[in-house]
Amino acid sequence: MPARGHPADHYQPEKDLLAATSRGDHTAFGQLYDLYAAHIYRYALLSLGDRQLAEDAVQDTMLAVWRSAASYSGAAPVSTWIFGITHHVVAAIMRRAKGTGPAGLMTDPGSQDDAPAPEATRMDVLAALLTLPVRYRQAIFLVYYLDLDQETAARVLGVPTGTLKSRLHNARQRLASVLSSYRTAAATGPRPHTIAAPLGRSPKEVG
Amino acid sequence: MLPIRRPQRKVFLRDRPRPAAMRRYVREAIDQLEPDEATLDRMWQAVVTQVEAARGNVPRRRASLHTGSILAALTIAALRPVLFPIVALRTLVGHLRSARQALSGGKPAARLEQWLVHAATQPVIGGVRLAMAWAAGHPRRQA
Repeated sequence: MPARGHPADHYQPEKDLLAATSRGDHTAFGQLYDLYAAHIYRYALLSLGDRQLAEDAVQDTMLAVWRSAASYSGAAPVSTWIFGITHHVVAAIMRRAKGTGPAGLMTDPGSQDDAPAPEATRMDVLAALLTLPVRYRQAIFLVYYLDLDQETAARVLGVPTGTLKSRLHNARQRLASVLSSYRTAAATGPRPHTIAAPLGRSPKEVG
Repeated sequence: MLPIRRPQRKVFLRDRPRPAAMRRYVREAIDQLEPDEATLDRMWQAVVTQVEAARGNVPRRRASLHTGSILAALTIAALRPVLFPIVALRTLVGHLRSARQALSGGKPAARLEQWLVHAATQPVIGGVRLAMAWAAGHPRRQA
């Protein structure tokens, strides 16, 4: 998937795949799935905290891509278009799931105490990410994981660029605070292995 | 031998963390959410099923199996309080699994399962009513 800093024609292969998909080409659609399904899944799982709901999000997103491929204007990169759909799908699932209670995203149990430092650090960062509000997790994912530039990430989320910058700033501050508390807790005792990833937040959390 | 560089968690603790370092640690963390191949295959099958259904190409045999499994499950759910509860519940679970397989897993079956489990907890009349409503609304009956 193309990231920032690529020339415009770098996106052409994906545009061609989407154009073929709009003509009913299953193979092209399968290639788009191979390119994006795992990314969509990670974004949805990070946002929703539930593997079954994340699978729902992938299916709904790819179905929407199939149905709407012909409406793609070509103005934005395909990744921006697809993640815009993903964001709306995730928001819709969160609205539907509202009231079903929190879902736990289970990290690898038992591995924290024995794992070497790099693994423990990955667990720390993931655990800290999951404590953030959904809107912050989404901003972090788009900018630091997918490597989208801030204008594009803001477009995906449907917010002004300034809002995105603010979310990134707040997210970094909270990450620092949470990781700092982990460091303090590590000196006094083990951390819990399951991190509650809240569902059913208000739609504003996603917006 | 060079010493292994320990990842520096403190990168996040800086007032202005370096973007490259942020990217690296966020990427390593989120990579743990990678779906396995079985999950990717299952999601793809579910997407294809839905795409084909949208085009009206879902095989009738699959739809029929789906209908039979769900109706059987609903009937058992409705009668469960007056049958042998444990046997009936096992049969219900078996039919639910069949229904899931019929739809190649994924969203519709998962939601249906939640709904059916809810139906299984309803009184007899409620269960029968749900079964009749579902059967009446099914495309095969409408056709």
